[in-house]
Amino acid sequence: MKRATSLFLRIETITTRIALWAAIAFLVIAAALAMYQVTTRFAFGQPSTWSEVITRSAMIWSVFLGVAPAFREGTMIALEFIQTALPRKLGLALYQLSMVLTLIFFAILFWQGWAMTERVTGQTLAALQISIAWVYAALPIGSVFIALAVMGCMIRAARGDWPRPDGDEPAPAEAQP
Amino acid sequence: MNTALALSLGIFFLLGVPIAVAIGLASVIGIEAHGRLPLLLVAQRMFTGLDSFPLMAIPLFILAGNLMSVGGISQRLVDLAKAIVGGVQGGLAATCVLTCMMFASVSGSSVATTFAIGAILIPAMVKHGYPKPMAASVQASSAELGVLIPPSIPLILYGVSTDTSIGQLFLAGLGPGLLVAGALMALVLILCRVRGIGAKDGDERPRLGPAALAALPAMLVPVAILGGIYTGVFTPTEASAAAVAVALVVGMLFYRELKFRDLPDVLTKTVLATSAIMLIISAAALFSFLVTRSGLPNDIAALIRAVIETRFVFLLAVNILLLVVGMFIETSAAILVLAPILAPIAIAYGVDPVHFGLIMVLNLALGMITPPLGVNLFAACSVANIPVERIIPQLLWFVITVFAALMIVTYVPAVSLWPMQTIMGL
Repeated sequence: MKRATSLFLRIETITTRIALWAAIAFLVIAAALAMYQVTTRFAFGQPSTWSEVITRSAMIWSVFLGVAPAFREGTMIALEFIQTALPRKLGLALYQLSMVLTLIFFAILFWQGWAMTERVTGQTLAALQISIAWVYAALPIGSVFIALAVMGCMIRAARGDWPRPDGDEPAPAEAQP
Repeated sequence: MNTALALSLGIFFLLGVPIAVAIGLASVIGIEAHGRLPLLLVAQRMFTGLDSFPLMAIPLFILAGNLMSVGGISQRLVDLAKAIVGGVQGGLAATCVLTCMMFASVSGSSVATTFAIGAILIPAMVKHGYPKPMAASVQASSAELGVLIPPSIPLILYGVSTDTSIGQLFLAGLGPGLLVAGALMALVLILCRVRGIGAKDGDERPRLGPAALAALPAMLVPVAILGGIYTGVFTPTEASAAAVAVALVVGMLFYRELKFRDLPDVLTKTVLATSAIMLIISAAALFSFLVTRSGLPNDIAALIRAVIETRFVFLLAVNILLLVVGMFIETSAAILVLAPILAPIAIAYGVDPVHFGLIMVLNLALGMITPPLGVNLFAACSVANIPVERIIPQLLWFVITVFAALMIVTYVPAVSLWPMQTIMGL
């Protein structure tokens, strides 16, 4: 059992890192295209029609891939005061419960995201000959990475590595309004 | 359906389920309770909620802010602020307020402001004999300016969800921003004098001329962003892309503190912060669709109009509601769910939608420095390395001060609207 979970954690480390790098790549694409769009509007007097569509699509991919590393790094924002106020064992139980609920949600998002992706395969993105399904696929694929990362959080917490919000771990959320 | 939505949302929040997930899961339960809506809505609405070009300004402003804090801009702004206000007793605390104000004009987020400025000024204040909890509370409350002074992520969200001009909202943020900054500065100077703290703050004060010169490239960023938006040359999203470009140029070529090897770290931070907030936006779009479809906004509007007669009382009621909401609910989620409900009612009472946006955002900003979900408190305490409980007794005067400013912003519309009226002639 111990070996199985250790193996899982090693795999999860890799998948979450893949998700992070892919999310970064999409962010860079989105930012670069947004700058390109501004430039074309000023240099040629008319904005390029395709760059806005791809900016939005790349950003959607970046968001759904970035959630997995956000879970791993503890930057998801939650109301943790009850978990913190309870004795450690009870707080941990509550944390695991919240993670189970999270898993259920992303299972639903995977299922419905997949259904939606299949449904829109016939539709193309405005101004492009590309199917919208390529963008919708971010939901089910992102959900798989997220589910793995959430299970990783649960295993680490069960092994005693639970970053309690009031503990020595620095507080999460780097840039949030 | 509405009972199911509200009840499950409350329970999930209390359990400590991440906010985005709590909102999404409550929506799933709402759909099931309704019975005749397809579950497919979950994927469809979460997708369309993010698929909007104005929203793209959020990740790009976060990226620009992160680039600027690595690129040496924060330190220049601190030096400039110190040169301007650092000479008196309590000058360091006043420096903190002024720096946050300047940094807010390049950053759209208060937590980012806390990290960028607090990392420099909290240790400096502690070194000058400020108690840690006081230094942290000065920082946490000044950082609120991050969401008032444009660019501002909450104002973008309000604009998107109520179809209000983001450019006008940005312009309207200046007055309340200056008001809160002035009030906080007066407060910290009085507190320092009364408590006898910070008597030697003026010792290491830089000279104004060189400090201003060094900060000049940094101030290019807000000039480019705001000038572009106000003159109508840029949309806010284009301005955010330009901000990223300017931040790269200033950090890499002018100050030469931003190196290529810093970029992976900056991008990682940006992705983590962006995903956490954009997932909330996505889930809130789904939730808000369900609430609107249930007809609840009309019911609430009818109820409010039947009970409340004057604009004065309406605004008071809204303030109380938002203060309570702001204590428990994350700002973006609160705006996306409540603004589409409340803004039309406010307009019916004769409140300008731009003015109302500022009332909402300042209210929720106050929630950032009140427990239990005060994101600025967490950030400032993490920088100061103290548990959150220790900062709470310090907060009273800061909360009262911001609250007083909030009352002025609420009942004197001119504070928000004068720049718009004079510059744009509206």
